[in-house]
Amino acid sequence: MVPWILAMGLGIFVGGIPGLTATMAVALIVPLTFHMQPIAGLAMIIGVSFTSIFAGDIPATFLRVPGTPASGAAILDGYQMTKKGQGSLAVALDLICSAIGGLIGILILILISPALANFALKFTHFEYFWLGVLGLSMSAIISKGSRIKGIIAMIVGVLVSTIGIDITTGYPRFTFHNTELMAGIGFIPVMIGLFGISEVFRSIHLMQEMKTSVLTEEIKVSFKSVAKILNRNKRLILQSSFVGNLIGALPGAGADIAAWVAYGVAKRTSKKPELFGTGCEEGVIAPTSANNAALGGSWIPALVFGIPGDTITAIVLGAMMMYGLRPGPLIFEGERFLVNQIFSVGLVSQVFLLILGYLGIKAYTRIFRFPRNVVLAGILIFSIVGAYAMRNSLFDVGIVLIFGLMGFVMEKVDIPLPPLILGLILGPMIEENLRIGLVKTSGDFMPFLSRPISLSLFIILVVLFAWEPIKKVLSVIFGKKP
Amino acid sequence: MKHTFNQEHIIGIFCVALGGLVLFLTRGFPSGQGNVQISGPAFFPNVLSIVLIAVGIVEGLTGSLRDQEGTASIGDIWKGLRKPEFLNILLLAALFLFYIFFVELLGFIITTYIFLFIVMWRLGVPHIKNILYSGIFLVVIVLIFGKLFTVSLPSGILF
Repeated sequence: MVPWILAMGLGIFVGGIPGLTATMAVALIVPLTFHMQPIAGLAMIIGVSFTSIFAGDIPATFLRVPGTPASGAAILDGYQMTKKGQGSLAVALDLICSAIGGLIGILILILISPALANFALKFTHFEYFWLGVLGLSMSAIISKGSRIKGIIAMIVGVLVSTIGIDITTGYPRFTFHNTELMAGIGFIPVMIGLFGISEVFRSIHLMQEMKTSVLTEEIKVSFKSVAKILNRNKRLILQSSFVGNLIGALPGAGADIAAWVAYGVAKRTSKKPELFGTGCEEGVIAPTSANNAALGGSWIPALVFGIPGDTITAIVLGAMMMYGLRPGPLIFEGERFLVNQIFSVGLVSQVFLLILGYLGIKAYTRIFRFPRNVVLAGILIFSIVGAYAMRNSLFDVGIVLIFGLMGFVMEKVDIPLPPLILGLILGPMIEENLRIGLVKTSGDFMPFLSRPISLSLFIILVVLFAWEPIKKVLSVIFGKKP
Repeated sequence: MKHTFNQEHIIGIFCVALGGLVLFLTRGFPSGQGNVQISGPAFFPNVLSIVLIAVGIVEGLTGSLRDQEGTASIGDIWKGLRKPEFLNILLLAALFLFYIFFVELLGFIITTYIFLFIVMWRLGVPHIKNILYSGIFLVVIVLIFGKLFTVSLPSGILF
C-alpha cells in the first residue's frame, strides 16, 4: 500500500512539471517494480498514470502551461477561469471529474472490455482515416472566432507533422539535410512553446502586474457549489467519459486526443456553445473527465489482446511480460484473480487520486503564490529543461522558441492555437492511413465509404457539419426561432 | 468603403506563400510505388498546400470584403512593434538563442544561472532576490531532473 501511495504522489509531482509527461512518470516507476509482486508493481503503475494525467491539468489551469500532453484541452477554459478568479473552482472540478472519469473508465473496462476490444479491432486503415478526420474536424468546432483562421492553423499543424522521415517510403521530407529534423517535430516542445512560452512573451510584452502573485485568489471551494455544478453536468461527465474511454480503447489514440475530441463534442452538444473558451465549467469538465477515462480505455486492447492503447500501456505491457504475465485473451482465464485485482486497484486509485490530488493542488498553489516575475522565469527554465529532456536535444529548445513566438503572433492576429496542435497530433494518423488505404485499393477511394464503420464515421462527420444548417431549416419549417 | 491593407491580407499572403513553397519543395520528391503518385511522399503535403492556398485566397478576400472596423491595419501592427515593450520580446528571444548556442560551451550551471539572472533582472526582480532565486531554481532543477529522475541535462565543456 505504501509504495502504491508514494508512486501516486510521484505522479502528482512529475505530471505537474512541464516537459515531464505521464509516460515519463510511468517509465520512471517501472524499474522500481521489478522485484515486487506483479499486482504491487501494477498498482504503482496504474496509480502513477492516473495522478500524473490529473496533475498535468494544474499548471495548465493556473499558468497555461500543460504539464502533460493530455492537459492541452484543459487549458482552454481552465486558464480563462483562473483569469476570472475561479482557478480554484476549475482545479476542484478538474480533480473530481478526473476521478469520476477514471472510475467510469475502469467500470467500462470491467463490464464491456471484450466487446469493446472486438469493436476496436474491426478498425482498419479506412476507419482510422475517418477517425482522424473526425478528430481534426473538432478544430473547427473548438476554434473561437473565424472558422477560416481555425482551418489555416489546422492545416499548418498537419503540414508541420509531415516534416521528417516519411514512414511509408522512408524519404526525408522538408529536412534540408538536418539530422534533427529527420525525427520530425515533437508535439511536446510545440505545445510548450505555443501555450506556455507565448504566454510568457505576452506577459513580458505587457509588463503588467509583475510583482503581484500569479495566483491571487484564495484557494477555497465550497463543496456545495462543486456538487451543484457536477449535478447539473451529470450528462456531460458521462458523455465525456464514454467518449474518452472509446478513444482510449483505439490503439494509437491516447488521452490527449480523447480530451480534445470530448471538448469538441461537449461544445457541439452544449446549449451555450458560445461560452466555450471563455472560462465555462463545461469546458473544464469535458476534457478532464475524458483524459482519465481514456486511461481505462487504453487498458482494454492491452489486457484483452496485448495491443497497447497508448504509450503508457505500451510500457505496462513490457512490464507485465517482465513479471512473467502474458497479456491477451487467455489472461482472463489463467490469471482471472490478477485481472480482478487490477480492476480493484483501478477503482481504489480514484479515491487516492482525490486525496493526493487535493494535497497536490495545495502544494502547487503555494508555488504559484510567488510574484509573477519569478514564476515566469521558472516557467521559462522548466520549459527549456523539459523540452531538452524529451530527446536530449537543444534543437527542441529552439522549437520551443520558434513556436513560442509563433503562438504570440498568432494570438495577436486572432488565429486560434488549439487547431494547430490537433493538426500536429492527428496529421500522421490521417496521412498514414489514407496512403496505406489508397495503396491497398490501387487509388480507389470507395472502400473508405463502403465499409459499415467507415461509412458510419463519415455520416457522423457530415451530420456534425450539416447539423447547424439542418437545425435552421427545420426551425424555419416548423416556425420556431433558430 | 475605404479598403486598407490589413492583417487578413497578410494571413492570406502567408498561406499562399507557404502553400507555394511546399509545392516547390515537393517537386523533387520521388513518386510512389509503381509510379503511383498517391503512395509517394509528396502526395499528402501537396494536397494540404493546395487547400492552404485556397483557404488563404478566401482569407484575403474576406479581408477585402469585410467591414474594416475591428480589423487591425498594417499601421496598427507596425505601431505595436515599435513600442518599447517589444524590445523585451526580442531580448527574451535573444536569451533563448544565447542558451541554445552557449550551453554546450559554458555548461548547464553557468548558462542557466546567467539566463535566469538576466530574465529576472528584466522582469524587475530586486538584485539580492534575483541572485537567490536564480540559485534556488538551479539547485531545484539539478536535484529534480538530474539527481532524482536521472534525466540528462544539457552538458558543456566547463560544467
